[in-house]
Amino acid sequence: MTIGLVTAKVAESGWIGERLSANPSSVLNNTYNAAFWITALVLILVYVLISFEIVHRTAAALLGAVILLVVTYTIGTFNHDFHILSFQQAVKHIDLNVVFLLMGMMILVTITARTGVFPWLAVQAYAAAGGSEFRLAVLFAIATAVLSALLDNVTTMLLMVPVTVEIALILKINPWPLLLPEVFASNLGGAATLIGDPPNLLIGSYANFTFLDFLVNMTPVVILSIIALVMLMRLQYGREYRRLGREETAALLAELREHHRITDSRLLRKSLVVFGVVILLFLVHGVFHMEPSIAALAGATALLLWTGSDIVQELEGVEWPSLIFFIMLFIVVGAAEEVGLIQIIADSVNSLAAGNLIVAILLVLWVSAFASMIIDNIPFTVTMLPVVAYLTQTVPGAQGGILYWALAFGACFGGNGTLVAASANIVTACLAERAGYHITFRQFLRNGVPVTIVSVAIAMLWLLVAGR
Amino acid sequence: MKLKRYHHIVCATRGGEESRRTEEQATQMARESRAALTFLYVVNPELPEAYTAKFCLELVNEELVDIGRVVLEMAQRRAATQGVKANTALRQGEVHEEIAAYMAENPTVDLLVLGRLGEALQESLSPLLEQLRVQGRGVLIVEASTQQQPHSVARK
Repeated sequence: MTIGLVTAKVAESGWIGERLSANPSSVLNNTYNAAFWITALVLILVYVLISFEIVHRTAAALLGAVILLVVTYTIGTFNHDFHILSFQQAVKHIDLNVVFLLMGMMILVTITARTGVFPWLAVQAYAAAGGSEFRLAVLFAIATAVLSALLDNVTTMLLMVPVTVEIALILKINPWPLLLPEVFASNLGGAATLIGDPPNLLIGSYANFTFLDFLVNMTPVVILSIIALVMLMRLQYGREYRRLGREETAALLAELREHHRITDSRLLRKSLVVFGVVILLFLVHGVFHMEPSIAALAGATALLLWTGSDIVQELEGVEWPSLIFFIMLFIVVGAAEEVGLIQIIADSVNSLAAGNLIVAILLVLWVSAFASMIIDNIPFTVTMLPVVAYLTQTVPGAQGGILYWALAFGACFGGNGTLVAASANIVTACLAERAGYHITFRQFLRNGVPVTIVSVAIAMLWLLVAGR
Repeated sequence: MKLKRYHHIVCATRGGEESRRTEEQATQMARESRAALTFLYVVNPELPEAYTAKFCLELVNEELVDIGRVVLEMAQRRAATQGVKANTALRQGEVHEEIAAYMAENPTVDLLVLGRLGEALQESLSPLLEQLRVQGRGVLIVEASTQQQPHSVARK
């Protein structure tokens, strides 16, 4: 059977993504041959290895990519049915904009984190709460959401959780009523910007969305979702939040200020200047037709030179396994695209949507949210991108890119559903456990599912209203 | 039944509500025996997956030390309300290795009080527990959910 898919990215501007540009199209004509089945099996294998944490996710993606290339260059040399993708095709599928953007931001965060600014921020939030535990939880959630919009969620939680736990211990309260809103806000806040969460980075780079597009299309929904989160928190933990006396508050504040000071204010000033310039470049990168990764790399290089940092030491801050994971995943999903597997998925989704934009929005949004509750949202997003590109071309009214936003909302917000849905959740649970506060999968689910449903429902309304 | 008197009790705590009963049990025994009491907390910065870069783990480690310090301070304050002046010890590394090292460095300790052990910790601590029994030093494992008579579960 011959199958074909036009994998061109969305063309022309629409209501929601003003800068969608036309990318090179390719029409794939493949058959259900050995290459197709091997690729399908490898893709499933990679998903299973990652989802069940049988091996490290980087090892899983590396294994998948290597199998595909080795098969191509051994059996595939003699029998074309086994030719999956060439080395040149594999390299073509690697989105270096994503890789360099991640790398640049990691270097910036590495240097900035040394200043002690993140725990200091948490202490300021405590000071502003004025003794009200509920206000403290809200301020922590807002601070975390803002940080997560600019940094990756795991780093944000790694820097925020210990000081939150410390405050909770001193207050003699269970830290979870503070930590849960924080981690939910982190996953919601990450959805607000191009650089906040890996699915956004992937979508932005693939569909040529700018930083500003994300601010316009994602941030309002994130703000509404955080307001809803605060209301849910009040309902869920209302009785657990106390109000402290003035003396108790002042004593604790003095103790916290003593332990969480800005450790290097000169470095912090330089970091803030560079961060500010990078954000400015993000805001205008569309005007200059500049990939966002260039802004991040320029900022990282400027900060490295300005602070006289040891580059070898600072590069230890780069999560190389994550970057290799992305590179290998691009190759695996690229192969699935080359052999026509992605097309099958796209055709199935397309026939389910039956050319109806509303059905397509609902399908992409809710399926992405539920899938992200169970499996890693990075491979899911990478797999879904060509599918959404196809739907964007074929579903009437979707040409503005609305389905990409549905994918972004679903993939990011789904991270709040279960304990394993996002790395930030696992890291938070792990750190709280260090202070003797364990959370079970079920306890997290009980809190996370309502947040996920409410936030995805807000996104759904936003997309449906805006898409009309 | 005559209660055994101890001279130096060490209570390994993780903090949290589950450890509260363990700490209370150790405090009560220290008061009854007029024994020295030390709360021990082990900072283990290892995360289950390689989620983060090395720099981040270094920062997290510093923060975890702060958490440990607070956990020990709270345990110390609670013991003080029971009239027991407790000492604290904070170590960094693998939990089972650090407890073993502390016990080896402090031969005067004649009772180790632990909370409920997870499967993994139970397995890794079993050589130490066996060694302590051979040395005639006591081990008390306090199950958080059960109301046990402290001395009946003290194993030697």
